[in-house]
Amino acid sequence: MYYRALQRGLLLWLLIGIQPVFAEETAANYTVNAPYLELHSGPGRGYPVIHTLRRGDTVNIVKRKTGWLFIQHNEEQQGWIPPRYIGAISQDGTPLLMASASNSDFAQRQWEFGLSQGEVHSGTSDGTPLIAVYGSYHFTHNLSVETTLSQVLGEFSESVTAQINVTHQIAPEWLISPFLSLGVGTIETDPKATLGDTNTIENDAVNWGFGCKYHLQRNFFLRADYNKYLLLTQRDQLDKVETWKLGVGIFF
Amino acid sequence: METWCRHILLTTSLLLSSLAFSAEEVDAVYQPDEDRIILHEADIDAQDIELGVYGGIISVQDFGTNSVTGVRFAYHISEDFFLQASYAETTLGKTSFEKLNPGFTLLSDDEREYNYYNIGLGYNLFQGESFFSSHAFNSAFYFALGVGSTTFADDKHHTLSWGFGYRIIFLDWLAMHIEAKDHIFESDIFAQDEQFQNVELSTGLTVFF
Repeated sequence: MYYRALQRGLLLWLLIGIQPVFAEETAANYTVNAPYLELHSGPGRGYPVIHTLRRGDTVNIVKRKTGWLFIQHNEEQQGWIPPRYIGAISQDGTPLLMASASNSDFAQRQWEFGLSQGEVHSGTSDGTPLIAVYGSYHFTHNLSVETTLSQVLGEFSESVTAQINVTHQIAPEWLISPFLSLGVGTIETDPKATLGDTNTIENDAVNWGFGCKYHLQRNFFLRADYNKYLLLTQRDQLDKVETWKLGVGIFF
Repeated sequence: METWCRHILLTTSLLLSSLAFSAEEVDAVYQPDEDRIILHEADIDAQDIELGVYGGIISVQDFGTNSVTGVRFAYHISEDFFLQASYAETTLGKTSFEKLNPGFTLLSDDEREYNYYNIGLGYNLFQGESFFSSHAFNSAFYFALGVGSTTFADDKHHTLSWGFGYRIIFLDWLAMHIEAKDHIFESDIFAQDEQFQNVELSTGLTVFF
């Protein structure tokens, strides 16, 4: 009941509560230093050119969407330019250069977030699908702490795993950067309701793994990893679980 | 076999997206020796995040067609790609068998609560302008593919979602979506494993910030 009310409230808040953030205009201290500059109606190459500015026209850089910039000459003449044309704008005769996140920024990142899809292999099941989200904070170039939340949806049960890992980036400056990880966590397994058994089983687990990240462009990267879990159970034997994941991430 | 197919599909899609990204980077052989004023991307106000609500109908196999409401989040990576996450809820109707046999109920009220989430990648296929009488609006037709979970009858099911959408950008910060999505999963609610294909049609509003 309360849940419903909360949900409605949230929807309402989303509808009316969010005020879009309008960009604050910078002073018109840039000029066009190319023969002409085409302004598109939207931030994409498919949107038509609606205005053309001439050499010497003064402009503001108002905001950006992905790598595209919204340029304003006056109330009438405004539009979007692709990232590669930033050099056509200059300040006091010196052209601009856009510094988007480079490989060295990738090596020096502090925060990263990502999502992955993968598979779980254990003694009883093969290739059970897994979905994971994670966030990590980098203390040094090599060392980071990572929290992962994953959901495994099998034929007979559903598991949720929470784990904290310490990750070591072996060579953060490499384009394909390898890492090792070591961590602890819990695995909560809920058997399917159709099986009649509704007891939830909770296990602690230790895990180790390795993987690599590949810096794609700007602040995006691909990530692949392998993890091996050792479930700490009351039984005589240890349960081993392996996971393979592939995903994308954003860094700041 | 199925596992391998999934691996190949995943790898190919990731490789394709990385190729699309790397194609945008031009490797200049000649670096002109001239002064440049460096402008940092992070210093310019960005509108890469899209957040909104949607509502529509979802047809749940054997349980009729019901109204659905949800929330949507997107992060635009480039002019072509975006990451998308959505969550929605509905309440299931009765199966034909329940309607023909009054008094018989297959699921309790709680078990009829149906919700799903999915996360995935979207690709803008056709960017351009759409016209309503004499007004022109920017729009894009997109393809979306995601994975997630569907909860119903007290069980969670790994779900593959794919679909097409149409985004009409009324203002720089306000857009309308019309979307058709198919949610595919397997369930043994009727004693044996069966594939569910639940088609959803929805419309909603999003704001960019």
